[in-house]
Amino acid sequence: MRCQDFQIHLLDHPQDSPDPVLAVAMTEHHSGCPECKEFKRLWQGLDDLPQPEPPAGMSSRFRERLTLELAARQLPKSITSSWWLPLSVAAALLLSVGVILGYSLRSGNDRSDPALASLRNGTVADRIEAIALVNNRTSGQGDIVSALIERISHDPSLDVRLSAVEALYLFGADPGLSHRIEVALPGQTRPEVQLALIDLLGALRQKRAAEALRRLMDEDQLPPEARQRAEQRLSQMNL
Amino acid sequence: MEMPLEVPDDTEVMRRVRAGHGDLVGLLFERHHRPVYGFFINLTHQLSLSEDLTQEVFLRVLRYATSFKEGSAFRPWLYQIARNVLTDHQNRLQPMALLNEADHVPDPRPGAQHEAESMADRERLRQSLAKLPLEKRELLLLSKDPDLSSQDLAGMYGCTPSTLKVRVHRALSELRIHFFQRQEVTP
Repeated sequence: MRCQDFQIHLLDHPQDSPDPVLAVAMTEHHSGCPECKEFKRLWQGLDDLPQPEPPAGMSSRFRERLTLELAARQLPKSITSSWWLPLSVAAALLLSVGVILGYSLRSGNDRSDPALASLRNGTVADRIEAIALVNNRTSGQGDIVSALIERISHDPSLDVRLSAVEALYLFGADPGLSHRIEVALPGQTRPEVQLALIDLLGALRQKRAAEALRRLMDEDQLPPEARQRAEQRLSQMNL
Repeated sequence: MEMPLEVPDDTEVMRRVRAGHGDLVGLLFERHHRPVYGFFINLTHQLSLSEDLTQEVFLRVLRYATSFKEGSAFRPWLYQIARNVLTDHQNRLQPMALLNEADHVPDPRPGAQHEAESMADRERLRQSLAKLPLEKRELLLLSKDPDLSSQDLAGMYGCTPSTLKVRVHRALSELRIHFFQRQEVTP
């Protein structure tokens, strides 16, 4: 048996029925081949990689996110899984309390809107969920854009900032969007967010957005990577 | 006389999810989140990130339920989503590498702390895996999932089982280079 044959057969799936003759040949080869011993040691070693237990509370945190997602989608709840219902209600109550508290403590133009206020509250996952939720609203688009721009400018989490940039794609028809992106861009310290905002400007395919990209490229302080991306997006816009 | 409780299999649960019972994704989460979490832990070595990615996988199960083909196996479809979630995450964070900020990943197996040699092997294996490109790491880890058949895996990668085996062999050969090179330079 050649090493190549041994190594390929070693990878046979455990569910595949082994050929007894082949098994004997493999045993013989393995006993005299240091290279294939190494190969087998590694293959078996992959079975021994740590399989840590999921952290405590992971299931309940997922149930909260699922409840929020279902609420946003307005899907009908199953009546067949009665064990699930009390947990969903509890999560919804918790969410409501959080939103009301956030509403009562908030100042500024989001005072009238608990959903927008929730963009600032809670964990990173909570804020990302809140971004997904406000995206599903059809009214108050100006306030939503303002809230998302505010998150992009001030949220400490990179994931939240990137989620807010993604969410802005839904508001591409907003005539002031390109200007607001242009204003928000210089304040960004993370290249990922800069590039995401430049991509968004390019995707708008508006004259205003093209002008904003041109002005951006005139900035002396623009990092080379961002300048290159702006050039690419501008050339793709054909405006 | 009490009737035995009906325990729907994954395919049946997915049929109900597609029919509008989205909360049943919670049942799928309870059944499958451990291997998915383990998959992400062994790829990223970041505890918090692995939880976030795992949750995202199951939210996508809900969002993309209509793309699940009736009668097909659930686990390969789930892992396909997991691969997409990881790729999306990596694309968003480029040029940051996934393994830049590895956490200490505890090994819960009894006695594992005392098996110094195998622990050293596992750590070296972990470091060697980290040197492989993401797609090869994924392939090796998925090849070791006992719930994925060779046909399942081949279907996920869009090739025949034979071709897949050759790909696994290549990945393992590359892993071997990293693993034993490291050992040779260690006094």
